[in-house]
Order: sequence, then C-alpha cells, then structure tokens
Amino acid sequence: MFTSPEDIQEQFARRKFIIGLKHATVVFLALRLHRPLLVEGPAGVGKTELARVLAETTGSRFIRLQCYEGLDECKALYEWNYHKQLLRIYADHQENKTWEHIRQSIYTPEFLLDRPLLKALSQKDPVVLLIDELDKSDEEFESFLLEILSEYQISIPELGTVRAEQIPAVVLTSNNFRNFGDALKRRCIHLYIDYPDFDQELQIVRLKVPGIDERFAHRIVSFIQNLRKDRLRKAPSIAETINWAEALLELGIDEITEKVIDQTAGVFLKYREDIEKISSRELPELLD
Amino acid sequence: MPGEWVAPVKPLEEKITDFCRCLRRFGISVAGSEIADALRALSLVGLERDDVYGALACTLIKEKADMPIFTSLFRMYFKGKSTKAPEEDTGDPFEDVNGPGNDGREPARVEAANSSGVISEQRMRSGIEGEPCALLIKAVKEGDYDLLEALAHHAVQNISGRRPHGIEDARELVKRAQVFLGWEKAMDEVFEGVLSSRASFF
Repeated sequence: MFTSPEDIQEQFARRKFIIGLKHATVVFLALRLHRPLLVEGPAGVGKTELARVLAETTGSRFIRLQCYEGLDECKALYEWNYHKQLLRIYADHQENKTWEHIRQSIYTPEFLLDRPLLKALSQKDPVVLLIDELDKSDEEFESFLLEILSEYQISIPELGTVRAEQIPAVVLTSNNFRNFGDALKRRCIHLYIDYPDFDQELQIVRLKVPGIDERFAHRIVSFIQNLRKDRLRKAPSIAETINWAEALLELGIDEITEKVIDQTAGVFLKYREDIEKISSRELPELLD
Repeated sequence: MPGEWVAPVKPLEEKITDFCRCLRRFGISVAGSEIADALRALSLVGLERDDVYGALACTLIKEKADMPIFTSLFRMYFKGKSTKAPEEDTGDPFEDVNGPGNDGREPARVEAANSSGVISEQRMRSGIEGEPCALLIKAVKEGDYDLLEALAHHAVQNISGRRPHGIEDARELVKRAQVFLGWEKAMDEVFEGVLSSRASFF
C-alpha cells in the first residue's frame, strides 16, 4: 500500500502514468478511508487507465464491470448456470434420486456463475474493482450497487451471505451523462480529472512517444491545448494527442503547416463541423 | 501541528462543521458521514492550507458545478496564508481545474447537452433532486445555457394547451413557467445565501 500521495505519483510514473499531486492525494485518501473513488471528467483523460495502473502498482487483481443501459444483477453479480443444473437434474433422475436430494445438489457453488461484483467480493487477494461508465447504467442498478458498496456483502438466497474477504478498492467512472443519487455520491470520494495542462501533457507525449523531437512536441501540445479552448463539439483527448504525435512521426513530418493539418485533422477531431471550424482559423494563432 | 494552522480560533471539528453548514446554505448538500470523512481526511493529509483545500473538496463536494462556490467559501472561511504564496496570488491550489482559468467550459456536459433533448430529459429526471428549482440554480451556477434552454423549453411545454394570446396572457404564462421552475424559491435561496455569507464573513 502507498505511504503518501507522493509515493503514488512515483509508482504511477514508473508505469508511465502521470498524475498530479492533487489528484494523487485524492486517490490516497480514497484508499485510506476505504471509500469508493468516483472519477469524473471528459472522455479520454485516463479515468479507466487510472484504475488499471492502481491495480498494477498495488499488485491487486483487476476486475472490471463495464456498465450499459439495461445492465442487471444477473450480469453484474451472479447467475445460476441453468444448463448445467438441468443436466444434473437429468443425471440424478436416471439414478432415481429423490427430489429433495436433487434440489440440494443443484444450488451449490458449482452451479454458480460469478459475475464481476461477486468475483471481486469473494477474492482472497487484494482487488481493484473498476465499475466503468456507471452513468450509462440505470438508476435501479445504481441503488443496487449502493447496497453492495455500503455492506460489502451479497446475499444469495439459496446459498447464504457472501461477505467480502477484504474490502476491494473500488473505482467508479463517469462521463457525466447523468447525475447520480445523493446516497451514492455521499459514499464516494470525488475526483474530477480535466484535460492536463501544458507541462503535464508535454510530459505525457514525451513518455508515450519516445523519439519525438522536443521542439516539435512543444508545437503539437500547444496546438492541441489551444484547440481545447475553442468550443468544439468534441475536444481532442490525451489519447488523440498521442495518436496524432505518433502519426506525424510515422509520416516523417516535423512541422505543423496548414497542409499537414488538412491531411491529419481526422486523427484528433472526430466531427466534420469541428474540422471545418479549425480550418477557418488562422494557424499562427493556434500554434502560439 | 502548531504553527501551521493559521486560524485556529475554534477547535477543528467545530470549524469544519460550521463550514459545512455554510455550504448547505448555498444549496450544497453535505451529509454527516461526509463531515466525518472530511475530518478523517484532514488527519491524514495535515493542516497545510492547500492540503486542507484538497481534502475538503474531495470529501464534501461531489459535483463539479459546486466547486466555484466551494472555492470562494473556502477562501472566505479559511483566511490563512497559503504555504506557497500570499493569498489571492496563486492562492487557490485548484484554480487550474475548476477556477476562472477554466472559463466555465465543461466539455462533457456541453457534449451531453448538444446531443439534443434526450439528455435534457434525463437530466431533468435525475438532477440534484430531480427538481426544476434545483436544476435552475445549478444551471445558473454553471452558466450552462443548454440546460437553461432545456428548462425553459420544459416549463413552456408544461403550460401548453393554452393558446398564445395578448400581452396579459403572456405575462400569465411567464408567471406559470416561473412557478413550474420554482423561480421564487431559487431566487430566495440565492439571495439568502449571499446575505448570510455577508453577515458572517464581512
């Protein structure tokens, strides 16, 4: 476990993940207070990656639950393996077993399919549980999740209660598509990750695109940083900065010109209207 | 940690509880368990002003939209010097994330609102309290024009079924839209917040 926020920074950096001290402090607090960490922010700033790196640095098992509309307990928690149960019933029947016997034999852990949440709670080793894009799930799921996050136990009617072996480190991410209920927010430690500032992004580009020319990296990052100040429909994320830098490097380009932008804008802008918008801007303005 | 805490007039617990009461007056809901978390967090990070700011922010504030209010209240309430620089200089450690430097831009929300009325409906249902009044306060605080527009649209829809008539009728319609939005309540809350903050801080 980490001894201080600076320790988190250092260990994350070793895994090529740059995290500011303020953010590291929030992560540190969430871990120490045993509270779920609710990470919000625009797409592509590294919310999911944060959880993954956290698992790696703590030597924890990484369990991920991807949320979507209609996600329910069967997919998140556990489900009985009906096919296998049927086979067992059939087999027992051939041997003239009594119903009482059959009933007891088919509701055992052998016939249980554990989904991410149950899996996370029943691990003996440390776990980082990532519940990704929780804002995409339904409100019903949210309240059900809340129950698990406050008790750290799950009751399976046929088997009894499964209590967590250890309290998993829980990371929830959200893109702000909907607000969460007060009860859930109350339980969490909140971390808002925005796009990185210039220095941080430069550091990330250097780290992820080794071999890039220092001066050129400067140009790329200031260009992207300026773009984000425009009201674009979809501002370029860090991933897009990296992709663009890699693409330019691959193409052997080392200067940003109007022609280059024309050719490669599709790498960092994903909407036509955005591309049209920037091609109407004066280039020197954006490179400043 | 004597010497580091700049305004130790009251015991820490009392000071924090008081601060939370103040947040509540500005419409930020703070639960008892969150106050407990905040105090535990302080015991972990120490009492340097910047650390206090960070610890309180992540335990008490769960909506980005509430950050500007939190930040200005924090400044008024914990008047100590920042350990790194004199106040109001680079005083606010979170400025880069939520302060004015961000020019109120909030990409994810803008994106959400842009994708038409569907999201607005969703936000309407699951806003702070699911209440138009709360959403109205939120929209004003955030400077979220898309949300304001959606609210106005919603309010008008809720009084539909009336044919648009002369001025008198329009005034009546506006009144109804305001009632639907909880306009008076929202304004009262805002004013009360401003007044009481004056009373206790200046």
